[in-house]
Amino acid sequence: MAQIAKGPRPRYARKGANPTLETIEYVLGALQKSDGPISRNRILATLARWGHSTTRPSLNAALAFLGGEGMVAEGSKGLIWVPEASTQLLEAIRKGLHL
Amino acid sequence: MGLRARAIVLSAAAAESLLRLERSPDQASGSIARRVRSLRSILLADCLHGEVVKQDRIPKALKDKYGLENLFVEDLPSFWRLLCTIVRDRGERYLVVVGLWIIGHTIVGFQGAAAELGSSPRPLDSVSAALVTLSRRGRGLNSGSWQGWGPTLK
Repeated sequence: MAQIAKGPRPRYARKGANPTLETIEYVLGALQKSDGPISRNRILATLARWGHSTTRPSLNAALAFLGGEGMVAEGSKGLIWVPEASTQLLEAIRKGLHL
Repeated sequence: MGLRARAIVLSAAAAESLLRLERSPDQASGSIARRVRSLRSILLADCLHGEVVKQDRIPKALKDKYGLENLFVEDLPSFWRLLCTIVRDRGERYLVVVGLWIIGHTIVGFQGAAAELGSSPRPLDSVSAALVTLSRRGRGLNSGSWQGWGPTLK
């Protein structure tokens, strides 16, 4: 069996921006608990209040990871958690008219 | 802003409303439909462009029907509003337009809209009826005085 000599290159993690699973979960929690779109500064402040401060590069890496999975959207008003589509909305996405 | 929506999809109710607006000979209806079409590029560039409806202000009727967890309102001509939500499917974000409505801040605004469109308010389906009921009870989208009505075109 051929051995894989080299591991895959990380897509989101970089030196100095390598959030732990705990940090990612905290970021997701901050987004889910907010009432609407929130800024990165607000997420950093919320994490600090929860006793889990992180750096901005780590937050950016966590958001890039969550965004890559479609779980976060960003717009002019900030960041928002994107829920999984319900059955009714799934039907609209798959069969509905596109604008 | 890299984390955008992949596409904008119309729900069955919204597609029906848009079709009716586009088919109507009324000038106001045409301008509403054109504005909806022109919102495509704006919403694809900025999926949070509209006014945010707070979670506790999302009408229960819409929550029950679509399971909404977020709702955005875009202003359209003649006191119409476009209601959309952002959801994900298979790791992709989609903006789903759940409805096109006449929603006036006040009764005067609503009467103006109805007069402009030359028709009387008539709820389209159960969700519209529920919105009308909510607004009559003083519980609208973002404030207590909003009036919600379904599409009024014949």
